[in-house]
Amino acid sequence: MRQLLSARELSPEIVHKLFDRAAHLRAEKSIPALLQGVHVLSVFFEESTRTRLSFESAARRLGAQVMSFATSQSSVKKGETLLDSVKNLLAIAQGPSVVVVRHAASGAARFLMTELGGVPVVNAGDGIHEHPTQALLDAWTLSQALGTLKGKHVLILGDIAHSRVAHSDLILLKMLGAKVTVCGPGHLIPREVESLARVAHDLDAVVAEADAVMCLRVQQNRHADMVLPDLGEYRRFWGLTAERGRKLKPSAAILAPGPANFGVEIDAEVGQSERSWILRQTSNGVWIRMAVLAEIAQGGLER
Amino acid sequence: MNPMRSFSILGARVIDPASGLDREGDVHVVDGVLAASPAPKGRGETQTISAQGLWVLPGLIDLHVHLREPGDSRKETIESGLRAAVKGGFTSVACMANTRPTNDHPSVTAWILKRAAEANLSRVFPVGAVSKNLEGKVLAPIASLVAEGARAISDDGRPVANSRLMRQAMEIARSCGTTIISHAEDPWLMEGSDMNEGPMSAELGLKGNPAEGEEIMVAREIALSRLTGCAVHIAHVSTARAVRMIREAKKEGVRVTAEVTPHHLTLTDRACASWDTHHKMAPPLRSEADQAACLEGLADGTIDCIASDHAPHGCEDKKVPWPEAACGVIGLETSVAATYALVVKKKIGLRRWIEALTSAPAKILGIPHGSLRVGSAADLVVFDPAARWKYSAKTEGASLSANSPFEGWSFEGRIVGTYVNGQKVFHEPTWRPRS
Repeated sequence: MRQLLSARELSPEIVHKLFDRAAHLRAEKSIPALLQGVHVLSVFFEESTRTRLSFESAARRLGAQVMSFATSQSSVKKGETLLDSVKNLLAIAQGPSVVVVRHAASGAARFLMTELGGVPVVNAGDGIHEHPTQALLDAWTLSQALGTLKGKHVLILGDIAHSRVAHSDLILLKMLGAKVTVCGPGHLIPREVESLARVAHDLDAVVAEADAVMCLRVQQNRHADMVLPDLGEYRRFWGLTAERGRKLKPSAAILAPGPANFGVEIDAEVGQSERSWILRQTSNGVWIRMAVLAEIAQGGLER
Repeated sequence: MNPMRSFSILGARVIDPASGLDREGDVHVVDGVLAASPAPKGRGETQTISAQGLWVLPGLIDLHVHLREPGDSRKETIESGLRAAVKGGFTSVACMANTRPTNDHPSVTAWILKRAAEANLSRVFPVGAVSKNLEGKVLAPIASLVAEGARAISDDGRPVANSRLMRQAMEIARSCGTTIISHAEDPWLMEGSDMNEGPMSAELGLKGNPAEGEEIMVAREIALSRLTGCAVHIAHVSTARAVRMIREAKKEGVRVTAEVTPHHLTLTDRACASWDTHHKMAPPLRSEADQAACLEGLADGTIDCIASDHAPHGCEDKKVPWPEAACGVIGLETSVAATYALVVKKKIGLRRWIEALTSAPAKILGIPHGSLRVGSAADLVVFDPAARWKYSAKTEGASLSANSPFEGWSFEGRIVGTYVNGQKVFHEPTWRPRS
């Protein structure tokens, strides 16, 4: 693996290899310093807590040096571009490096990969395009909760159109044989999803058959035009309320990429129940990201 | 007699759709004017140029270019833009008003004409703005712009969102005898968009601009043209539905004309999968069905002319993540070769193609060019239909910018000589005509 920009780069073989690797790393008493002497540049041009800390924790556990770049404190305020910022960080690192990048522009990770000519890039979320490590940790968590993904009914709720998490999840879940249904308001589910999932708009009609429900975060901060005029309306029609939680199969697993808006896309009663795997998703994220970084390190970091 | 502007081109295939001409023979220029025969003997030697195997066509006309001056001279100057024009065979260009300052005042129009005269290459016909600063709020002084030399009026770059304002502009334009050129896209459907809306935009996670945005605005412009009697020209048509509506409107007698770009005729939204921002422009590259309809429209005359929408941008505008990149590509130097390929593939007739680059745009602008009629100014080009060449904007382009989707493409057919008023303004170094 030379980079991870999109879930489309994965295959069932690579995915299971990553799952096995993550499981081994989690079970190890002492973790091998596979990234000793490597700089992991954590370049976050968008607000993030858990993803950035998750990547940085993963990198440090593998013995890497972490350089953390967050735009609020950076020279981006002086007009420095994404490319220049990363080139300067690489000039400081002066050694084998992996760039982990989150940016508001779709295609930003690929752009860096193209312009940096050889430095491995891991996409930590680019615009509304993809978030492949999230999809990996979601799929791993689901396989822990359900035993397997083949033939399982996974229900993804919310703003599919603007969710890079959903985009990567849809690709990966289909690849692994799950039966996916998406449900949300009509203007937030693009027609093109029909090739990857069943589309539903009436949540109550589909909630009972789900083996797992993934609640996407309502993204009020991202939209310039307020596409959700009323959060109460959203919860009423597409929220995983306590009432809908009671209609779920007893064995159903509940996931969310977070941070969850309890009382909007999911009620606290459901999101904090024993069927919720939300916190385990967060923990799993560290091991999955370690597996990805370890694979890339083994692919060779020299240009 | 000016010996520099009198010459004869011998043995070429001379094609002039405007006068129905397509023959093997000679072309004579005397004192910069097309003549039936060479200058009479005794008035000095007339230079003769052998053009065996080559074609002589009327000088080409591009009615949609962005010369970027005043204001954005790092991307292009009037002079560099005209160098690109003559290299591409264009003896006349119409330049859009979205400069800085906007060409919304006759002083700017005059400045542009002065710089063009100093460059002494192609003829320049400025297009004046519809609204002040292209803001779409208040009309620009259209009558003054036309009096100063503007040959058409447009807010191109932007659609005119306010229908009442566009109607008023059309009324004035009609009374001044000029044409409104419309960038016909619904402003809110296109806002913030990155590419055509469709399976490709969904896959790439880029905000889509639906074809319906163009449909809506073209319908409006046709309706307003019908209401006001003003001639309206639809810039860079890119969708099947727009072509269909224009065809119907023409049958009805509405004064609507249209243009299409070479990039829309040769590329679709699939090209965006490369993430190369040289495929980002407005309107965006569309679907295969849209492209086919545009090609059919050009072939049957629904779309009157080819226009490049030459839009120079620097590296700093394009070498950024896709959503941040500026829209637009250069095109003056590749229009001919890129569209001649369609003639070779028999997608469009030869005569229609030449007409789309000469007499059709001349008619829309109301200028006395685009033909080889005896007595008209000797604006002409020599074209080598068999030349095989590779285009590189980066290494050989005359434009100051290199933002071309055709970088590195191999082409068949090349302009080897360009003359304005009988004066040679471009000569391809590899063409060595025997005298």
